[in-house]
Amino acid sequence: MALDVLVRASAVSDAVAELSREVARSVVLVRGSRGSAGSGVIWDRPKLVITNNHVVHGQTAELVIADGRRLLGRVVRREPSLDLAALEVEHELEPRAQIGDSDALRVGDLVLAVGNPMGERNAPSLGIVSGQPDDVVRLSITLRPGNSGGALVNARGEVVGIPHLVAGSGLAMAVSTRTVARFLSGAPLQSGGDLIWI
Amino acid sequence: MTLSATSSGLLASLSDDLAEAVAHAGRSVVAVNGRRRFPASGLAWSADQVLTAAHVLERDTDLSITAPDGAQYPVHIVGGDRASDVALLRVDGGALTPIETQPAELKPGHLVLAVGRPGTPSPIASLGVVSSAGGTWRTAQGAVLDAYLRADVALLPGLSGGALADVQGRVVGMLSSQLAGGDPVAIPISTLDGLVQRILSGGSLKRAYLGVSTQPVELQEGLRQRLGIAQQSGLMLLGLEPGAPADKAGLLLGDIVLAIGGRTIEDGEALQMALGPDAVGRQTAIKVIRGGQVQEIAVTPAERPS
Repeated sequence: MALDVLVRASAVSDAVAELSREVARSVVLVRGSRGSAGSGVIWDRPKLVITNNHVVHGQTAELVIADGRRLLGRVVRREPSLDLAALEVEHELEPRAQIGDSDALRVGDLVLAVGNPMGERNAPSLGIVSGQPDDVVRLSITLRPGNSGGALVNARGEVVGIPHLVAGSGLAMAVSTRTVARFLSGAPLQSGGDLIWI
Repeated sequence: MTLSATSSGLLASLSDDLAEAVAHAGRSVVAVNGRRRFPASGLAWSADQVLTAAHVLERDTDLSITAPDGAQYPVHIVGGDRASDVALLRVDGGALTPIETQPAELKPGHLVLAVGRPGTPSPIASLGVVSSAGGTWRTAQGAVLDAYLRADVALLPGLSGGALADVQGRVVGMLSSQLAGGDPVAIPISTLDGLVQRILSGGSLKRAYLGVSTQPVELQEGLRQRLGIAQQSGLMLLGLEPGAPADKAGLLLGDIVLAIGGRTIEDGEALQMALGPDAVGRQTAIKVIRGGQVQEIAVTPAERPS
């Protein structure tokens, strides 16, 4: 085999490994009050972690961050119809994820999901965008329970979605960052709505 | 996130290449509207011909395709073969961009993209690697094709009839979810070429036919030694259709078929493989055991009645 081919493939392999490690620093383990476990992303806002609504059933969740510390997160906003929840912690968390533009994704773009499937910490999965993104990003990728709420990043390591659904063998969906932005944009509180502030 | 510039640049350019490849192949992948559920995919074989998977056509009339630019065209079926899961459609007034093909050998491990367009404005795609590339095989529906490509791409709904493409967006085969019992498999371009030629020359694909029903039987060690044959089993004839080629040639119930045209027959699959389109109308020697002796009998397979 030609040496340059080996070098190129090794470089890609190393780059994916590096990307996985870097992304994992902003991914937390989320344990809900009813024993549910999933993932969360340290967002680029003070003291904020974004996860899926279905990961946190109660008002609080335990967060285990990359260095092993355990923190209490309080649900400050949730939207079941978008499957999103925002958790607030008492202290600043680092490093914050870089948030990317999900609308800029094209079908075929490389994506990496990092989460905590089946209790494994920070397991990466490589895949591609399989359909034109809108409120969700359709993915050709192998994900498992526990990937929910984690980070889906593009090739530059920017978060473009929150994986939330396995749609079949090798198929999954993520809530796009377009949707997360809408969720966080302070859509007005509606009394009797699904939003819960504490 | 402090990804090194080298890694970031490398992955970003790989990502761009893959997205470009999807867009490139996608220019020649159309939606095929021929079933009640959502559409499937098809390949622009020429400006006014689309090749698709036969199983996605649930009706013969009221068929249409949607081109990548969103234009819808009525189509009619030129011909096809369910067992090979191919159908050729004529696109009246079509001005499609024909697929760019890549007949070169892809080996296990090569990256490939599955690209379809099940009625969506943008193509859909999944990524995988070639798991195996092989020669003559029998489809789940009984057709004998001379090559296949298997890949571990995810079979998104509506991908049948779509492209298996290399990382430059060149089409290497047409995808089917049916030919291998639900696993993704693609018919390579060179095989598709042959199928299209046959469809255009005859309207449908012929399959050879003998008019027999058979059962594999083990050949006893003593018998094999006495007759000097190596194979472990043969096919015993349990039924003969009156007037069919086998009956006309003088084959009898109880004959044990050992070979057809020099091809060893040990089971029903081997028999099907021997009865490809090329066998129709061509006199072929069938080697059988009859009354404890090996005999050769000349048979001319006919075209299988549909």
